[in-house]
Amino acid sequence: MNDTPAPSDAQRRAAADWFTRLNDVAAEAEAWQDFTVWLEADRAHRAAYDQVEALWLALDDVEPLAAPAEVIAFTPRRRSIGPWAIGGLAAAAAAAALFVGPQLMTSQAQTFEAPAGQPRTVTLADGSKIALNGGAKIEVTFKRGERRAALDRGEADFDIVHNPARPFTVAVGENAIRVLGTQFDVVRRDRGLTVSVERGLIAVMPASGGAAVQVAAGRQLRRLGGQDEMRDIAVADAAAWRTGRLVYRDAPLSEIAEDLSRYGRLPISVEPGVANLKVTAVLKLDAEEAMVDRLQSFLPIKVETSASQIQLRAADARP
Amino acid sequence: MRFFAARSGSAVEAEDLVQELYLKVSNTEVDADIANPRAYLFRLANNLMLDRARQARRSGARDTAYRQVTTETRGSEDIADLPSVEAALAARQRLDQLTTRLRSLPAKTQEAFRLHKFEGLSHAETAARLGVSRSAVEKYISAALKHLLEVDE
Repeated sequence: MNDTPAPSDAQRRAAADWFTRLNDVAAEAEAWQDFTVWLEADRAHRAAYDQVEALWLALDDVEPLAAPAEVIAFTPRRRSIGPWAIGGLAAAAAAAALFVGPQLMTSQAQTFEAPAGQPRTVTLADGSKIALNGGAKIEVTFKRGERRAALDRGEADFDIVHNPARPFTVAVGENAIRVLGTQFDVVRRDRGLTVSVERGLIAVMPASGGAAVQVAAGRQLRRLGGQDEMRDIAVADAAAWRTGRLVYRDAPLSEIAEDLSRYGRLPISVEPGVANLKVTAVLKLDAEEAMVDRLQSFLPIKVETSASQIQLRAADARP
Repeated sequence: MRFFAARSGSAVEAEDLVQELYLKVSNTEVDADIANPRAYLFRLANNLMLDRARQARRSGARDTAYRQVTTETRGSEDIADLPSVEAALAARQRLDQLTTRLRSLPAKTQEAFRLHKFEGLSHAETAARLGVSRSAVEKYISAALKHLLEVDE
């Protein structure tokens, strides 16, 4: 019986009004009767109502809204925007999502942390997503005209919604990353960072200002102390931890030790003699001890575990 | 019966629904202080239809791609109907669009909608929370729905 005409916009809007009215427990019997009359008046009315109902059910799957604790508040712009602002993301940014309660009208820094070995994804008010690897910690502050995050510790993959009116900046220790609309992974290290871009373009500069280095999709910048190193990477490897792997190419053992420390309780220290051992490997993500153990199987090192730390030392020379 | 017929468009289905409703009502302990029994009946009837729509949606090839289907299995439905990759992508895209649209709503509209839809508050409760009238809440929610409907144009 497919001869029902497609409902007009006006009919769909009327259906939306009906649906809203009837979706309340307090709806009166009269309302239901009037609704029945409306339904009978035109076959398109039923089709319209079906659409609204289907939309309502489809919304059950909208995740981010179901977890308001993950969304942060920021001060809305003082511009009046019509109810159906279709200005894309500029409108999205301007219309504040005050999920954390109407009293949070000022911008505040919000901290998000992932416990060791337990990655976690945070969705921000503008739709940007930050995937925190285990042991990572970030702070996010949204203000009028800008969006800022600080990677205090660990590694995170950023998927940032494009908005030229409100650039997104990530502070990573002494450096800052400026983002226009991109996906990239950053690891904060002791004296620097490694950032791999999956999509888009970012610029990395010292936090105190200075020359910016651009990093495009498929490229990775490793900055340690004052030294920069750029190389190509497979986009799939940029945030390999999200698919259960850690990918290293010519990485010093000290760096791997630093990374693995974030996956467990014990810090991993490396004897100076083997700290600069270059490693090219793909490690399967596992419990800290298991991963360290595997290192032993292909590197000339010995693992010594104590109550307070794991130590990597040179393997004894064999006769 | 008239309601079911008008809502489902099929006399056969309507009769079916009447049976189901009758069964449901006769098996439920009637709560003596339902303020408005007729409205309650309508509401029950409507929920029956909504549940059917939900089930139909779950077994619908287009949407199961997105949900984790392992949660429920119903004997009579055909779960061998695996969706195509395109259908899955389309569903995912639509969901993303809806989410973006929701976020682009003005603050109060969005919050009213969130409280009612996602926290399950009634109109009266939502109104109390936001400090506005019930009719204002209905306007917000309706506005939100209309805004979202535009995604499918």
